[in-house]
Amino acid sequence: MENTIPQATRYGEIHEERANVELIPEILEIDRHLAENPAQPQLWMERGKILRKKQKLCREAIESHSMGLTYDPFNSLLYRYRGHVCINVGRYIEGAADFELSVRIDPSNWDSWYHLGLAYYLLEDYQRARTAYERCIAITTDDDSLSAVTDWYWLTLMHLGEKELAQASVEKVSPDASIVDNSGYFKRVMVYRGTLTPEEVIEDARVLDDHMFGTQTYGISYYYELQGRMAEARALLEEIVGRSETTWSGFAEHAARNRLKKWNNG
Amino acid sequence: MRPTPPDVVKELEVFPWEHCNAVLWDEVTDIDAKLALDPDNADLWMERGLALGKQCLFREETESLSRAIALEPFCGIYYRHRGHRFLSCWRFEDACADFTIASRLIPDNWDVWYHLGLSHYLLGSYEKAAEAYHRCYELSKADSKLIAVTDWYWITLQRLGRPEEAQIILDRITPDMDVGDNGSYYRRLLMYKGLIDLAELLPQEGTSDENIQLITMGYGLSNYYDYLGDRKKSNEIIDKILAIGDQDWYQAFGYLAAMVDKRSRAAHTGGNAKP
Repeated sequence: MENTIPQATRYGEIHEERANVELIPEILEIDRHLAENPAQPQLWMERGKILRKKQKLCREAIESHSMGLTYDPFNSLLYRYRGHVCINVGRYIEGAADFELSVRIDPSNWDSWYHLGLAYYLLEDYQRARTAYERCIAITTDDDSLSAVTDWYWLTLMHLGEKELAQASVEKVSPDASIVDNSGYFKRVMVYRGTLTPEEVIEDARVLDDHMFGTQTYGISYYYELQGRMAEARALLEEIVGRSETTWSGFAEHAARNRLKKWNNG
Repeated sequence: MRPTPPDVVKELEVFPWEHCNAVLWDEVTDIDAKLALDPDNADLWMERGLALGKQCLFREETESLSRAIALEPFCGIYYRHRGHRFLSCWRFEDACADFTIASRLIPDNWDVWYHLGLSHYLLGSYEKAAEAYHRCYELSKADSKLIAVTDWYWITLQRLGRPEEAQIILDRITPDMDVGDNGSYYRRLLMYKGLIDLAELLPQEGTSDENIQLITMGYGLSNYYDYLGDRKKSNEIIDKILAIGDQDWYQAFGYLAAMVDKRSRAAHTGGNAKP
């Protein structure tokens, strides 16, 4: 089905100029409620979530979460959601700071630990990423979540040269796992595990939308890199980035862009 | 605050994808050398941030301060400084959030309440600005601090239609105070008291120091003209402030407030307010 909701572009979200995007009725309705009573941190949070998810108005989403925090400065979820959007627009250390506070306030939040790990991964602070992922794994209770966190944990451990630990982690994800939402991460883990080949997972991903293509294949580019298959690794990264015109906010897209930039800068 | 060094580009400090390609000053690289040996030292990250701020690398300063916060997320002074730089980067909501948590962590910090008041003011939340300024006012012991907060508090109270309260705080301002660094705010207050003529308030445009004074006093004058009912004159001064400060003083509070007033007035009249 054609997407008719107006979407922001990258240059509108991370620049002095504002995105010239018409707000959807859902946001305008929230704004009417907030105009009457702005002291509703939950509503600011909902506003931020909808802005990001439905319109990619990430900068405005961050501002919404910040407004929520002006009414409830120790709300762990507002930091969790604001941190998430910070990562979406490349403000990784701000995201990390938000997640660090979020997990101090509520150490039981799986998403906060997961995204804290991601923020540090994108900052190439692999030791801190490892610590966050281990805390995340410790409170993981379902196969879907285990697939997602194990994927990034494996990548992190391989960056740290911890091969045995990395292999042990993927062995804990069963090929028969019950997967609903995270098939992309699951298939990547199966490649690391040796259960699937990288080529079949990449081929499988080609029919997916741009964002899912990136999600399913980013980790495989690093897998290729570890095997010395640099040309294939680069080609895959370039394909992910090439397909990210509308998916620029995705985590795999960020990771791919950063890796290519690092190579290109020597 | 010194004017922006030539290799620091304003548009890149207010948040695009790319960073400024600026040569870091020695003060920053000296700290970097220490951080290489002690990377988990949150105070050093704060120092780094403050050193970057001297170079007008405000975005980079917020990133360094975020590092400090990530290491010690309950340290109020890191939010105080990061909030200040968020203001410089025109991120008023984010600044307000930082000053809000700082006000809970270090509730006796004058700067926190002062800048929280300004954040709310720039967001048009005058009631909350007045609350913050009131708390700041209670903490004001030195003349220079009393002068700064009284000015913004007076403006806020007038915008809220509370002239009696505004007069009470203005009455504490006298012609023989120790102004410290707040000479410009002091002159604004003396103008409100009728001790300086409006036509004599502003310095000439010229050096950087003169320009920041012009911007600071200019905003007070613009607002005062509006208070007196002369919106046209008020707008003229706003445009002058924005023209003078466009490259070197876009982070100054007078510039920010002028920019906000211009946009707000245009929004109410349906015009284009981009400075």
